[in-house]
Amino acid sequence: MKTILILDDEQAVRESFADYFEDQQWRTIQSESAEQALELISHEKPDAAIIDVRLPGMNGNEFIREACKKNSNMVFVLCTGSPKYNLPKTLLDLPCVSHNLFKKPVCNMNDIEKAILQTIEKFQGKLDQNE
Amino acid sequence: MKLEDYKHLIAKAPFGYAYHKILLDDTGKPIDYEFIDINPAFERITGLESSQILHRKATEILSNREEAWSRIPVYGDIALHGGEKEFELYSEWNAKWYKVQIYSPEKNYFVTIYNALHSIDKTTRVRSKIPDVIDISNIKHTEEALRESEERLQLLLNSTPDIICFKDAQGRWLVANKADLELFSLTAVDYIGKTDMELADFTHPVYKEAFLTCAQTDEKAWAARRPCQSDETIPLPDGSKKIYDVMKVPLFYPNGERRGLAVLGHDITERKLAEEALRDSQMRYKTLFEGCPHGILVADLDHQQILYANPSICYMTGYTEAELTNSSIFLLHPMEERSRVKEEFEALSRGQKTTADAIAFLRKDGIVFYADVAATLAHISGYDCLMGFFTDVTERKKAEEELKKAKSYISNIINSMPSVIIGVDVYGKVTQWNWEAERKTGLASGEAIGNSLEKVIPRLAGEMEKVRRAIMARERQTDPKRSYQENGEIFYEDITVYPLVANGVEGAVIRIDDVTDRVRLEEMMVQSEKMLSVGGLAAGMAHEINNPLAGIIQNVCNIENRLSDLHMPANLRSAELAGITMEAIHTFMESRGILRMVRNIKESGSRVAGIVENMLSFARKSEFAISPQNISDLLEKTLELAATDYDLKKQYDFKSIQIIKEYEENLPLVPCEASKIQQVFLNILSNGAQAMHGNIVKQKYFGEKFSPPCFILRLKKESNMLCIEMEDNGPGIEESIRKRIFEPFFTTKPAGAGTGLGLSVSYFIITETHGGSMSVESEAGNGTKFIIRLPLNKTGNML
Repeated sequence: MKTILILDDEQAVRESFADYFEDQQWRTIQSESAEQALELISHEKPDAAIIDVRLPGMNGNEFIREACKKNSNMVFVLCTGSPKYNLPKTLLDLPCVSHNLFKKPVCNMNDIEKAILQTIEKFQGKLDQNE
Repeated sequence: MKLEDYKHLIAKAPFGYAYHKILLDDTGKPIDYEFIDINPAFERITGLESSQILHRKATEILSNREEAWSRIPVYGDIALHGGEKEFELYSEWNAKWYKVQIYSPEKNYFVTIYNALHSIDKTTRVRSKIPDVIDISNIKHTEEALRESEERLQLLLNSTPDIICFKDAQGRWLVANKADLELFSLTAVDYIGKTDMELADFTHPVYKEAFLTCAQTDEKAWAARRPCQSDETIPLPDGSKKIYDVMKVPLFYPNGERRGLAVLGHDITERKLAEEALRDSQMRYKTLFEGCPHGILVADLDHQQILYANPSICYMTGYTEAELTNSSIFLLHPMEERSRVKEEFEALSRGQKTTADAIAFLRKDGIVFYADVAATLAHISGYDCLMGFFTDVTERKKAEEELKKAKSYISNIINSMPSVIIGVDVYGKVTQWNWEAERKTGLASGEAIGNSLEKVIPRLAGEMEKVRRAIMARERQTDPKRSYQENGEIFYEDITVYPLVANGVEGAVIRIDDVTDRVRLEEMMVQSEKMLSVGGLAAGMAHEINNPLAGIIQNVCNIENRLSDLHMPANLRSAELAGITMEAIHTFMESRGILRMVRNIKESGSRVAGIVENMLSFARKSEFAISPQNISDLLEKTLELAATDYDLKKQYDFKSIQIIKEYEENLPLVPCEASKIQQVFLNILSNGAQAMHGNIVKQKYFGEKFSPPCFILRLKKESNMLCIEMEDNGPGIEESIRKRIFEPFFTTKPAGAGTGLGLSVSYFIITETHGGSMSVESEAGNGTKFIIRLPLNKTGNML
């Protein structure tokens, strides 16, 4: 069973993602802030994460860069309610970050699961090549 | 000279001469005389011969002439006491009047000199029948006759208005007629024996000068020794004056001594005054002619020759009077003007006209000048003449030409202006109509000028109030963005009314500028601004809406999954715990419509998401800078977008529309804002889809045959443009609507179904933001084709 981290400060959204992934046989861990999430991942070791961009304190972008250092096996999908947001180049260059940017509301959460699985597969392939 | 010489002289003298000795009685009283010597002239005058009378007594010889006896005392007086006397006598012998002068050469002797009288009317003397001096035999009778004769003579003299006066050698008056005495106011004066200067004291002092002059002219006549004529002016006491033509006849004795002076004067006052008046008026005319500042020429009609020229015309032409006189009138004109001069001269001669304007003249020095002529016919010096008065108008003509030049310059400025410029007077009559006015109205200035403003441009009828106000208040009146409709189209114009205030020219100028394009652009910009602000607002709100929306939609998705998924392990586990099967739950949910409700929530949430998304499309476009875009890709994306867009609205299925793509290969990239261009494409596609759908619905309803809806999209390169054609096979657009299709807020959709902004914003984006062009071709029933051209380089008018 894979573990997914849901990082979103909006409870209803965070829980809806958690519920969906639990139904799909994922182990879920939730966090409402990047700082809390960074603590969690050091001992929980999630395989993937759904990251909101606008967060109190550290934002989603910064979190991903920090999380990469702590847990090099994790993949990330960004999901934001900000219409102006685009994936910055620093994140696009990271193989652990899905190029699919999801905008809230995500009407079909199956899409986001697919994107995560694809990113894991690609990222794993990359890791294997490197090894 | 010897005595013989004197005797000879006396013998040859033309006057009669007799030398007498007076005879005295015992008391010394003269009683007779005797003839001592006579000359041949005396014999001829008297008929007496020397042989018969010498040394004989007069009483014997002239026994029958009492009159001669009567003079004996006079003779005696002179012979004894000296002095001179004279009288006139008639000689019956030779029927002549004589003047007899008596003087005494020595004591007791006296001489008589007989001179013939010429200047006095002989017939009168004849009729008077004064007896012969010699006839002394009948002296009493003679004296009587003489007295009668003298009276008659006096009467005669007095009845003539001429003045007559006899003076002796010393200027003493002997006899004067009544006219003379009256002239000098001497009627009551005993004038005889008095000189002019003496008489001056007896009459009014005003005559003094005249008397003095008389005395002087008397002397002149004496000196000249012949009759002298002079005009003498006699001032009268009443202040008036009389002028006499005076003849002064000096009479001399045979020995040359002065004998007497006859003064005869004829009143020529009236003639003189008339002459003077004539001379005055002549002088006046001469002065007028010569001093007139206008050139004057008198030319005879037949020969067209100059008879007279005044100094002014000489000055004007540079010729002398002598050069002009008898010259042809054509001398004064340049060759090319002569035919006109001839025509004008003839017209003036016939009296058809009296003036000719700006005739060219050629000066003697070759300089050309211009003069106006006013002519009048006259009969001068026996010729029928044309008298012309010339005024130099060179300056005026020059000024006129300059004025004409300035006028054409100004009207050129007015005509070249891109605005309609119409001048009107206070009554609204058109006075000026420039080329732009002609172009806009199709009315030539000749047709417009003089007509009332409302007649030539009926829609400006209401502007007359502004014209009046502008003139009254002397202030500019403006009426900006005035709209009017023509052929179903709306046009806008700025109307400005300026009062004309200079030089008392009452009126106004109406300036009309077509601002239709500007107004439409402004309106589009306003709409664009509106949409941008809507977009900005949406961008700010979107995050706040999207998060709770995600909370709704995503949770509802989970609810649906957990209530309907019969195989989900978590579902099965929870059902088992609750002692119920998933099938039972599903049946309950279906029968209670729970799943339908959940789907409704999901869909409503999705619609909210769609609205936010649409609103955001306005905002996004301003975020993207212009970048090279593949237009076919943009079209693809837009088609996809259109498909989902119409899916959402559920009105019809965009996917059922056939899309035919006719793209050229190797199309260049086009610099543009992708989102804006997509917005345009989407707008055209959705309009077309709606139109085709509505058409099909209608055709189905009426059971007509219909072709399936179809878009034909074409992309082709045209020199430096990329041409995009988007054609549908819908109902097409009527001409009147087609013309207005890009107008903001123009819509054919029912109220609430459209904003009327879509195409106007599209037009704005293409033409203004991208410097391209956008047009529409359509025919009712035959579909609609939008043609968009985008420049391939960034030379367009980028906002």
